[in-house]
Amino acid sequence: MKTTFISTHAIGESVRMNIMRSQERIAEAQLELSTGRHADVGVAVGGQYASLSYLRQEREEMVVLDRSNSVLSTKLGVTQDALEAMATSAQDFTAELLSAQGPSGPSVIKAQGETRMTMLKDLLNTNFDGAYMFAGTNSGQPPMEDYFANPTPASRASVEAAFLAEFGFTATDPAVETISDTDMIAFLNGAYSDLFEDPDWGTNWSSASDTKPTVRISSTETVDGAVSANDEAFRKLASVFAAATDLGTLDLNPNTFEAMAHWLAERTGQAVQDVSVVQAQVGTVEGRIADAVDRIQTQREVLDLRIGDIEGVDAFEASARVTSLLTQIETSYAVTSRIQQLSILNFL
Amino acid sequence: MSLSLSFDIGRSSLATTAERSAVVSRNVAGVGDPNATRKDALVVTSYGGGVRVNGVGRVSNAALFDNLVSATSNYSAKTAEMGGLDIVESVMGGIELGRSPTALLGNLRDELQFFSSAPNDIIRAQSAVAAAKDLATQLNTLSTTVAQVRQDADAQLEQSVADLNSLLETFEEVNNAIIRGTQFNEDVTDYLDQRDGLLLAISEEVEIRTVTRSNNDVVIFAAGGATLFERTPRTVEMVPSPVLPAGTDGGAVYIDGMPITGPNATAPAQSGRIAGLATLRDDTLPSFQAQLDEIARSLVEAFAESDQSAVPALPDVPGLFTYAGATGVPAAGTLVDGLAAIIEVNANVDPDQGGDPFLLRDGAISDPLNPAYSYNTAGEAGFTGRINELMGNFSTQVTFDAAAGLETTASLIEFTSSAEGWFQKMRSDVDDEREYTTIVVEKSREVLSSNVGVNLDEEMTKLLDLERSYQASSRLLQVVDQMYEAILAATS
Repeated sequence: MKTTFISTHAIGESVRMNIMRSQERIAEAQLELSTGRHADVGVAVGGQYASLSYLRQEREEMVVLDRSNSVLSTKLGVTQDALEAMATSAQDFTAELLSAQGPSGPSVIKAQGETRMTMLKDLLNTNFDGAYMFAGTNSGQPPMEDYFANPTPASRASVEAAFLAEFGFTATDPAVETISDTDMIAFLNGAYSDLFEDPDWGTNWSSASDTKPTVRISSTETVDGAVSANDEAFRKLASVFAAATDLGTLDLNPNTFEAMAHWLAERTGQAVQDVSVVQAQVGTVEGRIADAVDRIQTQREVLDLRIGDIEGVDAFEASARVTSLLTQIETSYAVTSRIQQLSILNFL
Repeated sequence: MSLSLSFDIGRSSLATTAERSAVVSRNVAGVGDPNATRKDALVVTSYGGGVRVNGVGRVSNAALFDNLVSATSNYSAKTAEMGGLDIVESVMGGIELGRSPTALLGNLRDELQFFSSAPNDIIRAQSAVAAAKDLATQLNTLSTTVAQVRQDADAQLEQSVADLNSLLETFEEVNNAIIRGTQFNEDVTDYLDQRDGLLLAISEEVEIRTVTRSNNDVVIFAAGGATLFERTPRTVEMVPSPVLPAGTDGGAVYIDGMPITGPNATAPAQSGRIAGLATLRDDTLPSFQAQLDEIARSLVEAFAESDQSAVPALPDVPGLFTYAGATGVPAAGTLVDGLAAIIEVNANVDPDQGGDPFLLRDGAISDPLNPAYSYNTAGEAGFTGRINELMGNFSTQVTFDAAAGLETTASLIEFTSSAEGWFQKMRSDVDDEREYTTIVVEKSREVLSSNVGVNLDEEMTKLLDLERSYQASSRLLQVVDQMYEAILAATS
């Protein structure tokens, strides 16, 4: 009776299989070393793949939010700059109004009103990346027309018409000198101010939308992504500059001019305050974005960690595996060649 | 006792040694054949003291062989299943390539996010539409691939059935030869080897159990007790399906009139290539197809447009995502078979087909001329309401059909990642089992071969013995001859 037996085929086959399996594992381990994740993630993580793919797209969303947030902050920065320029312009104008005494006063005010009106238009029509920043959701159109354009735009025409309706003559008529200070103030507070209220403002002055575009800054938060030119601050500024330009400034009698200059200074002061309110609103949004960016950064790190936990491989472990597999294969080679030499045929 | 008797014995010894060396040379020839078993000449003493070979014995081990047969069945089932799953996986591309439905869905949402930050930007609008097209195309491709793999599985099943039938025919011939040989006490060992090889080949196609009856006659039972072979082969049949659209079942495989796959099988085949292919064709892939269809249906639903009039009167209609022959938004939570194969981006919004990508922001993709479905009635370039609403729909909880085999209430993106997770879980499980069965097959084969195979060294030493024996017998004859000569010389 034979107690041990092994066939020649089995001797060779077991070593061959061993070599093949080791080589396959080496290929896997090398791939894992170079990518840092399992060679076949799906097979390696199995049921956890659902959370993995969910986390991955979640992480992708964070990256995108990060990028879109940085675009949005740039936009708001541009808006903030424009607002700053408006506030400065208005403050300078107040100073000019207060110092505009003497015979040259009216012409200085008129000239300054014209310049600043154009500047207001340019600032309100600030365009960034193809979108008008002060247009609300109607960002495809510049919110304000050029007040001094030819032919005369609706805004300027409405001012002239209101003047004519109030006093019975145009602002270029010499009779402008006869307007009393009380009449002028009454006009400014009455019919003239109405020109800058709805619906006249929307029809003649601004094509901006009252609605502000909402932009998502994190998975749960949205903010107003732009400012509307329909805000009180801009109406006041427009009314001040238009009055300085087109209400017969040069021909008014000194008394009336002084009353008007006073009214203008007061109103400009209010406008400056309103602009700072808008600035504060934009600043709040910018602050929320900055918070969101920080939070997103933290979330990204957490997500990266969790993704790494699921799909990552330990590089040290993988490289140790490669080393031991290499040793194993080399041993197998040595054994194979020894076994092949080991045959009784060589001794017969 | 006489000299002539010694002479006869010596001659029988020579003849026996010759026959035994023939057996040794057969063994040596089979040293590289994994199916070859070790043969031994059975030497008996004949009347008068001589020896003769009374047949050739074969070393076998029924238990180990049965083990190998069942391991082979398991292995080929899992290999067939894994093959199909790997094709689908190669199209899906895993996580890295970003071609999986979840990644593309995430990408679409990200493009929408970019678009919402610059709703006036045509490039952003086009990118968002392009992302939507990528998603639709990938769903089409995946769905087509799933259908293709199912069809391939069907064709392979047909091939398996044909192979099985022809194997059984060969088996019949070999089995008859063995029965006949056994009855006449002939050497049937080579036939037995051949029959074992055939049994292994049959077990690759379907799991089997064998019973050996008198005269070495073997009966084969297939899964669930259906008789596959008894004296004559039984018919294995299957009606192939030239096309297998989503929602249709392929034909079942019948053995001797009994179904062994499909819903009507009382005891369905568990292993063997036929079982693996049937699982792939009838269970795994239809489930995945249903999940893809649900993803597609839910996409149509998430991007559907509703009547924006003050008093809404019109029904919801498919918006960004639609499909050929759509008559409205498919009913919520109800599977539409094959939707993933035909989902597409509406031509009205696709710039490549002359559409306007800004409709994604404004609505009325379903019909740009119908103001009722327009969300941006003022036509404002900075309008983000609709885009934000669409982005919100990615995480809204909606209902899914239980037929998809996943959660019935989930957000679109959760459901999609679940579907992918389900698929990878399948692959992972099948791969584990395949790896395990591979090792079992290798081990079984090694142990069996170790037990019943040929060892070259042993055969060579046997040959040395035989050589000595031959020399001794020859020497004996020579001595007897000399003795005769001596007698003849003495008497002449």
